[in-house]
Amino acid sequence: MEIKELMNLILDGYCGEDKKYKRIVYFISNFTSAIVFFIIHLIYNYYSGIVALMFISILIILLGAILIIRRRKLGIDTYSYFNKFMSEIVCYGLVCIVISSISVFFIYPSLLGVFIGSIYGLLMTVEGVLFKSFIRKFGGLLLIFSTLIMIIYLDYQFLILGIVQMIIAILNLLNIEK
Amino acid sequence: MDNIFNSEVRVKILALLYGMEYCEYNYILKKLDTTHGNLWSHLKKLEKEDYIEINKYPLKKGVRTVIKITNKGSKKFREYLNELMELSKKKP
Repeated sequence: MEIKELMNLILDGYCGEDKKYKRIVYFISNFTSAIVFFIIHLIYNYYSGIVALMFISILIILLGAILIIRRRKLGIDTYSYFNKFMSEIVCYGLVCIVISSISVFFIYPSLLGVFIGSIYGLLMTVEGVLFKSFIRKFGGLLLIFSTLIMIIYLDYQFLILGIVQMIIAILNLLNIEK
Repeated sequence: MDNIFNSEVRVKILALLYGMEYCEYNYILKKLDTTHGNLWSHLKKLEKEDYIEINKYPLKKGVRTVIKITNKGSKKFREYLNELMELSKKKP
């Protein structure tokens, strides 16, 4: 047996994941996030005052909870070290999303969706790189680049975010990767 | 070198498990493209030598077999890998 073959197997072990399970979980979480962003868009554009703010806060917390549960549930059958690292990265990423959302909300609230989109996109791209997943890399980049469109159409930022999340959810369901 | 490393299948099993916290039996079976009987006999040998841990959990339908590399298994595999690297460097 060649060393190269052995090294490839070690790398396979590090990147190991339960693809079928992840695909289903990713579809559910992206689909739910998309719905949440559509609701945020409606609240943001058609309602105002403290009730709207409360709704947005609850929805963002809900989104975070979905992400945490998703991460906890992943890799039940196959739990590699990259899964372990990614769980930690996602936890720090969520802290970053929450803190930067609070900061942006008080300084420039209209850029909230842009911030959430770019950080979430980065997290998705990192996961795509670690697990050699084209869909997650593509989805992450799509989220990052969609923030440029969000800046142009600021009033529709959450709608754009929701549409992109929906596209990623459908891509996960299509089972393009083996 | 340990006689555990005489078998290519056992080396491959350890290589795969080296980067993992744990994994399911079917994952190894799929990755190594071997037969059920062959894989199971090698896993049993590795378990006997305390290189891996095999745990079974009952499910509604069947049993879930989870395999994990032990500290001893990780250490021995690392040593084997280092030896292999040294040997490959010495080759002209």
